[in-house]
Amino acid sequence: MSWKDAWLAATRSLGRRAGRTALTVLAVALAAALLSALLIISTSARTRVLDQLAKGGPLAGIQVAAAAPGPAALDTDSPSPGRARDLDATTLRQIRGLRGVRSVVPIESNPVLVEVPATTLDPFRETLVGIDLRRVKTLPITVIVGRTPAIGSRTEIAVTDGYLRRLGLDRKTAAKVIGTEVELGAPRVFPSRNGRTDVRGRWTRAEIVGVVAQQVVSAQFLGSAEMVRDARAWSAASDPAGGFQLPSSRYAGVFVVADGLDHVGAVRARITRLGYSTSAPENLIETVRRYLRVVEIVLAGIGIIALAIASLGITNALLAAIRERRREIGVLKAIGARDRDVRRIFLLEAGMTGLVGGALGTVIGYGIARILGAVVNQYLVEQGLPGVAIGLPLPVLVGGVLGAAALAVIAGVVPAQRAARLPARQAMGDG
Amino acid sequence: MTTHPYLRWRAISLLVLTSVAGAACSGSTASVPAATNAGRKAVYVAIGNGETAGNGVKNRIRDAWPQLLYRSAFPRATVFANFGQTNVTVEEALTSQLQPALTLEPTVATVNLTEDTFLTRNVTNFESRFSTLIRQLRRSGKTAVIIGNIPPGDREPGILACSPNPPAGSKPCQLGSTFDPQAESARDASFNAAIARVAAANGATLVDLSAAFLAARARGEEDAFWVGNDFSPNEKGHAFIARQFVPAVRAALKSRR
Repeated sequence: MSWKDAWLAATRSLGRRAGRTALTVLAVALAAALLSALLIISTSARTRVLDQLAKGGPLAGIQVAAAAPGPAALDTDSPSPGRARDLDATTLRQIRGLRGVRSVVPIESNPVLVEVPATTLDPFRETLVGIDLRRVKTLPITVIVGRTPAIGSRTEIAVTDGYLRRLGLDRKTAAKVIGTEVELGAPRVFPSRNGRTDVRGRWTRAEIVGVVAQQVVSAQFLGSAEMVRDARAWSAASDPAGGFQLPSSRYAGVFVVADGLDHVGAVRARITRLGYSTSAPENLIETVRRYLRVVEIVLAGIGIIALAIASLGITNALLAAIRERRREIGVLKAIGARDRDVRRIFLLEAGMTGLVGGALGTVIGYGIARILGAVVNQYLVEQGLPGVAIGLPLPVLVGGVLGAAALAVIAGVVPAQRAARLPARQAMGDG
Repeated sequence: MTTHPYLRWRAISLLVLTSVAGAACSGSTASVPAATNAGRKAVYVAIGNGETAGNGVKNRIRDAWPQLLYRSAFPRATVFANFGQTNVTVEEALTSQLQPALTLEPTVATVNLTEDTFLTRNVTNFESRFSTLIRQLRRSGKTAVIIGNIPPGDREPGILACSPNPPAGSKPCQLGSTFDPQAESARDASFNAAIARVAAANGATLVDLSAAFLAARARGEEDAFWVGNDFSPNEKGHAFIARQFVPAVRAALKSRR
């Protein structure tokens, strides 16, 4: 019997028992749908998290302080820095030149006196942090409400939770500060009359355009590097006799993004050798990776259990078919069909059931993942975050269809073997 | 230091959630916002005496009249510095205020230096040095200079305390027994005349605070402008002074366009 004949026989057999075939296909499809949905979701999450961690996202970043390394420089994620040490353009060039460094973002800061005209708050001292806002996405800054200041703007700032707390607000009511104005005064000491000095503020007004969570530098105000540079140029020219000493380091810190998570430790070590204190959440991230792997294993386990149950369904359906088709098997053998021909027909039936069920299940699984993605997106949009794009990864597509077919063939091996070994006389006689 | 396992779990969960949310950004690039229209950049400096520094108000950074003027009359993109000092002569202001103010290359400056009336009492010398200050501040016309003159002081509680019949509750006169209110007013008038001449000669705008306070007096408003038992305006007084400067500042900004 040729493969073509076996295929025709298997198709006819499946067609004759359409109801049972449909139910078996449905069982396989549901199992495959569950597995593929779980795989699509976990793959999307894993890919995106690991993209961030391993391919230069903010979490693969290293904070370099304007200080020498402390005694436990590389033993912990956030070691205590040593004595102050200047970070200047030369240092930046040196860090950029290190192996494994993807990008380097300098962070500038200046002390400011803050006046909030529309409130009863007394003026208070704070730090204004400035960054190159074109590179904000490479920094650990999350926008909670609003947006980050415009590139190069000297009249827009973002504030942090600390500022909200001053006003008695929290993240839920953070939107209230958007569009309000603050006045920022950079201090400078001038020589005055009779050998005394006077402190003069260089005041600028800025609109709050966003509330952010940032782990760049401890400060409540985030603006453009240009804004901070202006303030610093004013403060840095202070009369040294006034007792006001601005840190001599041009940069308050540097945020270095490594080529990948695997390089973070090595890059930290190289920067430490240059003589600067570093911190990075590498130990925490490594732990996160392990937990992600556990989540994947659990999800995959659930899917595999579902597929195993579906396989048992296929086995059961085929065994029932053998019982019903003993006479047919007997006739086939009587007209010359060999054991392997009978085995082939049953394996083809199982394979076709798995193939159709797998294809159907993968499509359904993708649909389920999309629906879940839409629900997640709605939540993210409500939280002011961009949505998640759910894709259909090729390995899941191919694996879902071919895997289900292969599993079905395996499930069909025992029934097919039993059918093949059925003696013709016994099959006919029993019928 | 050890971390509590619960806190560690929370930290990990937060990190994962943040990463997933942050990673989701990959498909949707946030558009870079354009800078809002914050007006044309200007630099405003205030040169002056104790009132300019904020004498008489509790929160100088909020309520001193130059700060109020900065907030109400200038566009957001304006940089501002207040160089006001208490008990300063024009001679002293030439070094302690003018020089630092010039480092900012101001586009608009207000000047209210009136304490020579009781510190030096020398009108001739005042006019000469004041003229030097205004000329240098003008930077050959690059700075619009707006000068405020001396408001009448005879309703100040500190002055009234020295009158033959001081109001009830006045504290003892701090100006001595020789204080002569009429001679004081005459001296203020001669200083105001000098200020007007300097303004005219150097292309500066004069804000006639003296006339404005007298008009307020005629309306019965002036007494509310002064701090009790003192020589300085209170919050209302500072706001009143700021309002007098607003039209001149707006005109100066308009002429720069």
